[in-house]
Amino acid sequence: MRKIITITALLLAVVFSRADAQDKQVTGKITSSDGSTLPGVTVIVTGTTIGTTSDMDGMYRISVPADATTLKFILVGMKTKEVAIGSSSSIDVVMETDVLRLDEVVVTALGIDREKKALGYSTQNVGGDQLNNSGSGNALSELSGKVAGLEVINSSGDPGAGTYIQMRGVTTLTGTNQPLMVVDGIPIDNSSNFFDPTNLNGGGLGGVSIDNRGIDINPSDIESITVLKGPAATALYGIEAASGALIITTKKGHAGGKKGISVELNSSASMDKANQLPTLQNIYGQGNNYKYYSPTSAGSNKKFSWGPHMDSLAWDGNSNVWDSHGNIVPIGTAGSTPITPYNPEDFFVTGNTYNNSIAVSGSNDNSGYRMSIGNMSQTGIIPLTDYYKNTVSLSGETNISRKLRVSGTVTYIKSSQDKAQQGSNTSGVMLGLLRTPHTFDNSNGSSHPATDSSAYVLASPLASGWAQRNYRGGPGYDNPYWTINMNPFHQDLDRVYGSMQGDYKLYDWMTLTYRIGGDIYTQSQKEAYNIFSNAGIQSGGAGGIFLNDYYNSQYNSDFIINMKKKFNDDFSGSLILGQNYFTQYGSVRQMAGYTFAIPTFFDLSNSQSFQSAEGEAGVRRSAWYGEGELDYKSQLYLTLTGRDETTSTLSASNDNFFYPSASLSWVFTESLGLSSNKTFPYGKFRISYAGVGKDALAQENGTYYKPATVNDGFTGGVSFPFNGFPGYSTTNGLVGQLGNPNLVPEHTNSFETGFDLSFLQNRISLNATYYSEKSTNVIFAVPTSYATGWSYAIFNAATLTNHGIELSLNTTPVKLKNGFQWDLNFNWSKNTNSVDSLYNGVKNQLIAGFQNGAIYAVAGQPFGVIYGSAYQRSNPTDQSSAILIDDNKSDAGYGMPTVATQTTALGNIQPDWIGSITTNFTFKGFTLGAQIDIRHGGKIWNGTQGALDYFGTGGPTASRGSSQAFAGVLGHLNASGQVVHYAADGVTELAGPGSSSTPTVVLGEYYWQNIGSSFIGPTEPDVQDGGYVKLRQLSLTYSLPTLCVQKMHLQKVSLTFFMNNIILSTKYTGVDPETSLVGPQNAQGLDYFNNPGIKSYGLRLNVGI
Amino acid sequence: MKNIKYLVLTLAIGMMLIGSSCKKTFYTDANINHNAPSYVPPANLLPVVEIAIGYTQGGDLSRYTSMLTQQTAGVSRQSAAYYTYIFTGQDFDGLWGNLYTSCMENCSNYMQVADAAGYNGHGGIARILMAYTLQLTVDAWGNVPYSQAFKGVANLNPSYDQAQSIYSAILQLADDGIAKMNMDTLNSPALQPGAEDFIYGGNAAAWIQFGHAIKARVYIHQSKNNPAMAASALTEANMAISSSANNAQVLFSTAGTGNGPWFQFNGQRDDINFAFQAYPQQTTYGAFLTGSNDPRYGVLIDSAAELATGVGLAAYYGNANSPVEFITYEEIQFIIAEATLRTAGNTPAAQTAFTNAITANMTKLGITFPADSAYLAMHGSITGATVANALDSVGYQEYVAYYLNPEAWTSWRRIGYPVLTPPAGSQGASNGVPHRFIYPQTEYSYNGAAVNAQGTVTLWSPKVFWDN
Repeated sequence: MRKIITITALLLAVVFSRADAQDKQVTGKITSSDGSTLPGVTVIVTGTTIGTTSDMDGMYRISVPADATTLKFILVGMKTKEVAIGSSSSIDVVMETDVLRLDEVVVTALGIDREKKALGYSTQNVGGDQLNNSGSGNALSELSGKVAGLEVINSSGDPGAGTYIQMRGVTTLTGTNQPLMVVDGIPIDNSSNFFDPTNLNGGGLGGVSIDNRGIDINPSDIESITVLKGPAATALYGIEAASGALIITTKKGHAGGKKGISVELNSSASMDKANQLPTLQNIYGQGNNYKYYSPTSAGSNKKFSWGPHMDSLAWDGNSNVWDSHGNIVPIGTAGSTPITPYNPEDFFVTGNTYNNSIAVSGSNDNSGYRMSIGNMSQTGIIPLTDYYKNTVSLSGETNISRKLRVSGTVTYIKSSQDKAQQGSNTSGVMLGLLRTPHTFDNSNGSSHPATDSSAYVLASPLASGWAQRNYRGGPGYDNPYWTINMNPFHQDLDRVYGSMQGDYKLYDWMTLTYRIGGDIYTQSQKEAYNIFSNAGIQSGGAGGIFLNDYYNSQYNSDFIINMKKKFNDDFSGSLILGQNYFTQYGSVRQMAGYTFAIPTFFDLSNSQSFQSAEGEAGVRRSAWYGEGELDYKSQLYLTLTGRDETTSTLSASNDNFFYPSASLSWVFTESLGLSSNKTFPYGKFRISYAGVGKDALAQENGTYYKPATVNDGFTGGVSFPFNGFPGYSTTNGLVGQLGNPNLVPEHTNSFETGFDLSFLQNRISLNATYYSEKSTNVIFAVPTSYATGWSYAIFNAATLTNHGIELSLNTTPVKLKNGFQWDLNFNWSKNTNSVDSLYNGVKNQLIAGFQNGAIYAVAGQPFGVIYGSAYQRSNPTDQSSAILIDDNKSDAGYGMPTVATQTTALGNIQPDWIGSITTNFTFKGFTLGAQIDIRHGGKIWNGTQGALDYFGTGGPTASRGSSQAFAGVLGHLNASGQVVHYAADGVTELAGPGSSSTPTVVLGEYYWQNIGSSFIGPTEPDVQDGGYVKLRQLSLTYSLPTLCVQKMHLQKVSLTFFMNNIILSTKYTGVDPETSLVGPQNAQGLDYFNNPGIKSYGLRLNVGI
Repeated sequence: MKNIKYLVLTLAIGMMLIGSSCKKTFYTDANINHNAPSYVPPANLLPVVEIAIGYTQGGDLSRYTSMLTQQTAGVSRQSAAYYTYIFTGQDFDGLWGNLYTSCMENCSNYMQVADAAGYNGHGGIARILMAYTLQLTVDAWGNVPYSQAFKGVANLNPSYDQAQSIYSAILQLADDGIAKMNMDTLNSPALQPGAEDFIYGGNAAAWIQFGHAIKARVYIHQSKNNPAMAASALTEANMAISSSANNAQVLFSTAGTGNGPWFQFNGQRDDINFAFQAYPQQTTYGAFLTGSNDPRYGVLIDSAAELATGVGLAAYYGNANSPVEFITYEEIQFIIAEATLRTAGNTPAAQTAFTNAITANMTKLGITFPADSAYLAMHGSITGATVANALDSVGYQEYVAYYLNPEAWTSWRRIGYPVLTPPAGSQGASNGVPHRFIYPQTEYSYNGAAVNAQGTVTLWSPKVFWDN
């Protein structure tokens, strides 16, 4: 906190300090070539930081130093104009419309502004006004569909769920593939910090839908996001930006900006609902073999929905603790009423999201400031889940003298979340909810089950025995109402980030810039499981509590010398030299308590045994870098960069490395004299080559003892200290990792080329890019034979390649004089990835998942292979050969496909291509907008479906009892593992497969439990196409006419009605296929009782004062 | 004015140079792991090895083998599949991984640390535990990596050794362990193992008996049609565990972080049945015991609880702090009985050992007069016209006594009694009850050449060398 105060005090000092007196006043009027006055034009004394803007009547006034020679007039949409000052004190200016926006300036690496036409690589810019559309308060999810080649996956619809972003494919295996996030020149952390006590070896397969720190930013504070897609664009950033970068520029008060105070108010409210849930059968009730078994019945029959037809069942009306409707009896029993099947959709409620932000900004000739406060309040579609976020941001700049400008910004964020358990976790909401037989009412007839304990508690106060009311009589899976009340997860976050910058104009052609900034947060999680909760953290529902406190701090310093020189009329150039220092430190303190004494008392002191852990890791890096640009006649630009880096994560002999880039931009329409051509005024060709190095993760070069644990895939296991004795192990359960002191940096080399074309007064513009990248020496934890004693060994090993195409086409098909305009834009991209090699002799590597459905990297295939058990083929080495159909009449699976004993690649999670279509109709203050996102291809393992089919609640099991003959050839494997088939006598085994005339068999419980679902059967039937077409957004905005607004003494008023995700077209049978079990991590494509996605309807008000 | 500019520029360039003039330790110090001890004494390595072996044997190994011998029955989810022989390579990853890393790599490291610092007792214990784990591994898979294993990056693709040669290595490890234990007293008391030894509390004599017990077991395994091996087994057995008080076993804990493997599985998974007459799958074991009015049935299995809550494993093996037994006194007595039968025939000595074994097992379970005597009167005699028939008596009693212990499967594979038929609907039922495990998927993925050299492997073929 003390740091926050210091930074704020410094910033205030900067904002309110006064600038030097100036020498001469110049005034004038700025008009457009059509005669209209131009407000808001930026006027700058060339070669200084002195500037102002024109008022509503196009008038400006500026103090000009005696030695100044020219004034520069800048306005978006107009061609920038430079005018000599001379002796006059009155300069009127006429500016020309610039439909092509050739002078458009974009922010590039290190916050350097460059003309867009000079760039030899592809970038795309998203304005802040596009980041508040969905009302979600999450700037990252708003990027979806807005940038060609940017893949955005929201892990679930939970409040505060994570958002995964990826550009140009996977370049590293176990490190992050997400772009670097930079706010006002300072890299900020985008980690996911979590601990999943329900899957100790599983990397987030259970627990809650985790977040990532990128969701903290208040989108209302963002001026724009420049997306730097490839290594050529990010070469100056180095290591952290090997997967691209999001350069976020926040709104600020600018010295010389609009005079006086202006206020901006943004307010939105929306309602959220689940947009798609897995298909379920609603015909058969609880039990087995068509026979009803009650929650209290003995044995395992009650676990299933393989019971009788619901039409044959009734409630006897004798209310009991298990069912307020009464016991289930055969229909027609005296006094009974037919049962009403339970509908799991009733569990979900309408979520509400309120987003409010207010910003005040002001400026005078020498200083400017902006202050903003944002508040987000969200409740989820799962009852009792919520997310509250408050942000305060302050920024300012001042010209201390005409040579020195100082600026700074600081943002404080406080958020809290309450989340529900999900995924592979017997306390997960969806797991218990969807496995519930529809003869059992989880709400027990209550009208408000989320807060009515009679829905989920048998005896109150919780006493002894199984006190939880659920369909399995206590043990098994938590009643979803129990889990939201009795398994609380709460997270608090306090974060501050900000930066200060000084720019000193040493000469007209040389500026020195120093920028320092940091990002500090603490994130505390408290997660508890009440006594009688079923989560696999403790046997017999003994209860437990987990406290995790994360701390992260990182600081970044850049010193930059920026030089510009015009050599002659044809040549000019610039040179940037810089030095960077970056340090990061993270720690985690974990405390766990097991076996509660007092029910519902979620406190560490309530535990009978304890466990604790601590972890710290840090990184230090420094680098020299430089960028030189040569400009020939403003039509040919050559840019060279280099960065020399030293890092703490590699051993002293390998810790220094260098990587260069070169790019060329040619505005060929200038060379061809087409710049005034109405049909084809602008065309640019660009080509670049770049290398980026990447270091290891912290502490990957050593092998370390850890407190020992032993566990297997079925149980929580044992951990040390045991009986009071601490114990240590280097193999650490089944995740022991051998460090490597000889690691060298990874390298990604990239070639990129493309063109930007503009036709018909910019009514059509097309940007096309082809890129090819190769990452070599990729450092990763190579999985090893357990017989080595370890599970992984760190090596520089893998080679990955990516190549692809990004297209963006922006058109204005209709533009009428009466103001009607129709814009239609397309983004399309296709990336082809290949994991060329992993490590000698290593065929695959598990990224995350389950035995029956997991994501792997497989040598020779694209990253993200769904690997699992498949049906046995008649030719075991050819997965495309006919399926072997069991010909042993004494087997329960006679006539059904047989299952192979080894795993096979079954599909890939990466889409074939992604695209989006956005369109806007604008007319007299009305704007009707729509955005359609398309993901074509890309498989998902629908483990939810597999489990539901196993238990008999899955939709496909409604057809139980139907008959079919499976396509394939008869046969089986003999004791030696060879394909054989039975001769007519049914005993003699003949070599090879037999007839393709397979018997017709009944698809019953055996089929769904062993052959047709991946729960314990093969993975193959549950690998599904995750492609979709989604109406991401439909919105209608009405902006009040300017005259009307001015009468109210306001600047702007607009009201928007929006709908998100209201149409989803997909073959996927689970929740919204935009889903991720592990959250924002590399192993996308897993669905195992993921919480559902949402659709929403909302209103947004935007007022400018 | 010019001078100021130069000063600023000089300062600026000076600042840039500072960045590059940092000492190397400026970087390397940032990479030090402060949360890991650089040295761990043997006293904090031994308990990890003991608990790892206990948890691994009492976990997947006990579950898989007890389902194959039908001492238990898998009734739902994965266990239902295993019970009907639906296994994939992945099903063995966890077990194999725990044996090699949690048990044997930790043990190998423990051995090196103990030897380097001159701890004789710890060095002896390490060898005996290594011998024991290796024996569990070989008896499940036959040929496995050993001589090239546990070498880390020095050998990422350890080749497989012939099972028979690993058996020789086990005997050597046991001998070396016994020799080291005999030197334990040469160490000062501070260097001798103590309370951190959860098995014997540092009792060297007991460890020596355990060492001989492993040797006796290894010999008796090879005694089928080989009287010389039976004779060696007899010799070793007479030096092995002399009373139930010296049973080699690990006790788990009631503390939440230390519960035993069966307790955890039953509480968290509840997929396996134990009782006779339980639904949907009664156990063959339960049927045998109830059919012979065995008083142990009611002690080992709680059929009422199984009907009520689904968990039918009674307190002795089913509690949070229940033992996982490695080798017991009754096993030694069974070995003596079997070895005597194979060498001298059905002599009074064989019968004495047989009676000792059953009595020891019942006494351990708390069964006293008259229930034990009544049972012994009915079933306590080695019967049979031939040695083979007499061996069936021993085989049956071993099957009963080695409840949930992988040795029950080994004993059944050697003696072939009681007669077990595959459960209804088993995959590959025509091949009978499985005789071995298949290799794990991780070996095919990460050590392909070595495991493929073993040829095609199924649950029935090739058999472990002593099983032919």
